Amino acid sequence: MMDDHAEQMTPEDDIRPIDPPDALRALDDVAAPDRLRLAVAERVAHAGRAHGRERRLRLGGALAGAVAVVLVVLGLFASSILTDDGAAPNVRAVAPVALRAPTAPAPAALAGGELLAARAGPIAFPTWTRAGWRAVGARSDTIRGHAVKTVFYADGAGRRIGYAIADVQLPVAGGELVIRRGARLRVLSRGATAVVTWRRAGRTCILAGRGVPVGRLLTLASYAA
Amino acid sequence: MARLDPQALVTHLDRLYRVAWALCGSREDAEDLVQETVARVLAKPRRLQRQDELAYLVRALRNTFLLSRRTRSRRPQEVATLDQIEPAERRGTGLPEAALEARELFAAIAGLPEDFRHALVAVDVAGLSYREAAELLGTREATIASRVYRGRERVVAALGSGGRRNEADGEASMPARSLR
Repeated sequence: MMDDHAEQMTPEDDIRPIDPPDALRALDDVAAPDRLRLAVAERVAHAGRAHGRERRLRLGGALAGAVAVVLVVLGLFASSILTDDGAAPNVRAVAPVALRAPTAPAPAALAGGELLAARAGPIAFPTWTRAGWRAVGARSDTIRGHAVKTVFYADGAGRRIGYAIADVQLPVAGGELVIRRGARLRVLSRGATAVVTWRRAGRTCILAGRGVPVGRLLTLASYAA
Repeated sequence: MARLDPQALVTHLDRLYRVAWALCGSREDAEDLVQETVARVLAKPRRLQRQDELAYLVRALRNTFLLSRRTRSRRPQEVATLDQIEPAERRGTGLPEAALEARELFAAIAGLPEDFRHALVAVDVAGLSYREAAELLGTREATIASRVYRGRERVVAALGSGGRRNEADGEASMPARSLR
């Protein structure tokens, strides 16, 4: 069991998170087996269908109440569109896309080795190989009618980041404004997840990673901004 | 209060699997644990109380692990057979060395004293912050920091002694590892 004496040996005042040893980074390469992935996806889909059936039954039995709820929702929606700029999602809503799994292979590098054969409007995704990262996958999503393209990168230690570009200027609240190499970047973080966002060419760029130092994200973002 | 999106189980599956493996010490038990956790989470709508979805799911997985361990301790002990020896991990980087390295790592983590193991799993494997890990384990952030530190030291030491043993046995040695 625990060695209480050993616990007291580390200064308890100093609780700043530090990076894990290199040895532990190998864990990030371990993915769930395909059979487990399929089984979980099937369970989730089944649960969604079952909950949908229950919901429909409940709605059928309480139609009058539902109508009242719909009216309230419509009222709230009407008031929200008077104050919202086109119901665009915000950066915090889109950032999780950059942490999801890729659904497409990594784009190929173009001649010159600096850019990938993947674009979001006028912005081409970088290779970032000089910075020690390589593209490992990509995905495309549509969030509330806005296209979001993401390229995922991994470094030699197996850490992964996602660079997402939304086709709209997304609102962002909070966070910390950082100027790096002249680029205006905003840092949002939650737990071990760090997000750096900036705007370019009428679009919103989001770089996110879990367990990756914010400084590394800021450096990459300053190259791309 | 936000509702847990069941899709979060798919989104965080790799991380949950790693947490399960680190807790159980075996890939097959980890798969069972994840499946059981998924079934329990999906059994009814879940609401997130101040925590994000990953922290919620890690808590659910840990609770399921503790529950299944208590249940198993009341059953007769089984002896592992040769059929139960795990094949090398086929996914991930696809490199046999990496698969071996991951298995040794998980074995080293699973062999930690319980308090160190739960702290290290919460922070280094699940990716929770010290604050989230402290809430999960019902202790102070400073205690988490201390346990993670000690746990990392022991894991690195265990991996180092494993590599030396392999060399002595004439097997391929593990790549050198170091504390940053």
